[in-house]
This record gives sequence, C-alpha cells and structure tokens, in this order.
Amino acid sequence: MDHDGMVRVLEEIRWLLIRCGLSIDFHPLPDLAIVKLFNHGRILFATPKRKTFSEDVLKAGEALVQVVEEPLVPLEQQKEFDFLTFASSVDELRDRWDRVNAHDDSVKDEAWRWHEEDRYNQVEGAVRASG
Amino acid sequence: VSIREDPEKNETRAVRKFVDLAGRSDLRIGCGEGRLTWRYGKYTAKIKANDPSEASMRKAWESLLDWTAERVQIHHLGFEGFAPQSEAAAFDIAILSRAVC
Repeated sequence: MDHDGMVRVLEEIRWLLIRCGLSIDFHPLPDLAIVKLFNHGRILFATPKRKTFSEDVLKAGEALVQVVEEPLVPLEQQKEFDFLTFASSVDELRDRWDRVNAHDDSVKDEAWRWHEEDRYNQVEGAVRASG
Repeated sequence: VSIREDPEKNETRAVRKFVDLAGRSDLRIGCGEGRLTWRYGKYTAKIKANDPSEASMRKAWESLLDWTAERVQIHHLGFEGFAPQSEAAAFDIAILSRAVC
C-alpha cells in the first residue's frame, strides 16, 4: 500500500475508534517465512531467521505520525513473536500461504521468488531424506 | 486438513500484553476467514468485522460458533464502504492483520 492509502486507512480507523482507542496491526516479519521441519518433536531442518525490518512497517509509522498529528510515544518499538503454521506436507503449506498471501500486493521480485522456491525445495529434500 | 496456526498462542499473549480485551468493542478490518475474530471473540464484548472477499466471508460464516453469533457482526464490504456506515468513536480497539501495511 502506498503512503496515501495508509494515511486514508489510518484516518478511518482513528475516526471509528474512541479517544485513546488502540489499533494493533500485525505484519509478518521477515518477508520470507521461516520454515522448520519437525519429526517426532525433533527439528530436522530450519531456515535461518533474517534480521531485516520491513520497509512497509517504516512507511506505516510515517503515515501514523501524519494522521495522529502529534509526537508519538512508542509503547514498544517492536513486539515480535513467532507465529508458526503447522502443516503435514509442503504442498499443504504452499496452499495455505498462497491463500494467506492472496491479497498481499507488495512487489515480489525474481530474487524473492527464487529464494521462496529454493526454500520449499530444501524442505522437500529434507522430508525425503528423513523418510 | 491438518493445518494448525499458532497452537502456542504466541499472538494472543502478545496482544494481551498491550490491552485487556474484556468488555471492549473490537473492530476487525479485513477479517478474512475469521481467524482473529474467533480467536479474540471470546474475550471481547462485541466485534464488528468486514471483508471485501465473498469467498473469505463464506468461510468466516461457516466457522461461526454459537457462542460468537450474538456478539459478532460480519459485513461483506470493503473498508471504503464500511467506515461511512459506522458511527464515529464506536470501537475501543482495532485488531488487524496486514490492513495498513
């Protein structure tokens, strides 16, 4: 979403909320999902966690400052938590993420797609190797 | 289907660190298939949710539980249509997922 779109949504939210109301927006970090392969509770394979901060989150912060028109007092700069989706096969996981990302209009370049495909291939290889 | 999302409830714990949901009215923009609506519906007094996708809305209704039916309103609307139909300052909280960015 571009800056103006963010501002428009935030203005509507602000209008709908009571004074001192609270808006919480979850945003996935990092851009590529972390994949772990479990077998009887043991982790056989895990992709590394990237320490990047999404550009969109920074833009949303700028849009929020514009809407609120007051200096912001951060409650907490970043509250990060693991949100794991468990699936019994790579295909099932792909289907799930395709549905989740169906409305994600952020630009995904070729490198991103290659990394994502490579990640699924690694997991499929690990599944085969584990029997 | 054996998909399970956040069985450790890390998300719920993170939200409850910020806010006590008890008795609050909750706005849900882009509720999708209703995951957040059902997850937090048991704590809040009422929820009003919307989503522009008919397929998502259908799934949300299919998973509507008896205990949430009285407290949950779901509207098949985009946000542009939803906000003008609602009163100002009607909600205590808005819990969203990727609605802004």
